[in-house]
Amino acid sequence: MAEKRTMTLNLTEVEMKGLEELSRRKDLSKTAVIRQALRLYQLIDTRLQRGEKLFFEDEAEKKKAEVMVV
Amino acid sequence: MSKSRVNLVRRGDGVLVEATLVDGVEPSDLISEEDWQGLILLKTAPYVAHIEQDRGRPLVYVDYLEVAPWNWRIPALGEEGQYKGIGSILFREAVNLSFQEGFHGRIGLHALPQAETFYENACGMTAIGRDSKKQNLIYFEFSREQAQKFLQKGGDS
Amino acid sequence: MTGKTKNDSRASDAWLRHMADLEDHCKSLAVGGLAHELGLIRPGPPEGPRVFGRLIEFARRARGLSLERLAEKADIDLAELVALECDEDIAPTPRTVYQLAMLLQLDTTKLMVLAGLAGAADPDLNQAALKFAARSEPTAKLSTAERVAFDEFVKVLIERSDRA
Repeated sequence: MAEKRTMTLNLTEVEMKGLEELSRRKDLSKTAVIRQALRLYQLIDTRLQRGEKLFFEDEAEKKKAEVMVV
Repeated sequence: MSKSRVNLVRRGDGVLVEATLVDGVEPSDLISEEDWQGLILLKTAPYVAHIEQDRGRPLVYVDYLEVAPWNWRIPALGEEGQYKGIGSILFREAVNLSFQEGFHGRIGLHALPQAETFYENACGMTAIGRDSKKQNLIYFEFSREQAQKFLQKGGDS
Repeated sequence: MTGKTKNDSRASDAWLRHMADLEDHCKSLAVGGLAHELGLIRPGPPEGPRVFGRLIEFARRARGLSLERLAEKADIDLAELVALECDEDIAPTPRTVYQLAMLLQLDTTKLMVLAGLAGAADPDLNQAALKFAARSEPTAKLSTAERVAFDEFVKVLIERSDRA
């Protein structure tokens, strides 16, 4: 497995709660959640850089809404 | 993004295996070696499980799996191939990665028609259904239990 | 202490032998993901001439021969050899098949069948041909220049996989 480096992460109470909730729901360690979040952020960012757009689609309501990602 | 290459000992000397997982290598740095035997490309995001008990939870998706041509077994042409089981070894690495990432061995992949037997019977995966977005290929997944069983015992013939 | 399973990531000899056996008896383990993106998936059974051409290329590269060298050694027309390997619609002449079979030490009869020049109905052969046809470019023992080209192919695969 690739070499890993350690980082300290300071989170607010709310952020920590959110992280714990995700961790529970996804049955992932908090670290794993953060790593997944990072991958998703990179994925999304790469495609946005290419000029693509990110949408949420509601098939039932037949609606599509663009997701603005900073 | 992980890439895996396998170094093996020739059949006659027994089956000692070393699988090297190459992670985070820039494509421009990738140089094929004399003893390249197989290639697997895995995605750790953004694929999630469809299987009931772990629906929506992340899994490792197998995007590409290839055994080097000099290892192919083509009985009709008398070709036995140099090394055996390369595909299985690489696939096992995918399962190992899934455990390492905290995904409990969950795997997802779309199988070509001629490979359905391997994944369903030889590996013991669950056929979830045909994916109209991928030329109606069948999408397979490993549940946690199936992944464990695969690592311990391999599949059933 | 929870019931967390400690999994052994190293495969045992028995496991390897067992899986290698199973793998040998399966036609293929090709997955769709990236192949689908790259348009490498061919629906339906392979056509004889195309598989034949790919097989010749594979056997040629395994012996480290260039197209010119193979044409020369097999005493066949270079243009026909090029067309065979690259053009999906070209069927070889019987003499060409025979010459290539002799030189590359492949079974003449089976090669004739693959080339579509003899009656088929050999299920093993069809299975092998199908497995072969679903692959991407064969890369056995390439020259330095060809390995560079192969590396480029792998990079493209990885890049496309990253982008997909």
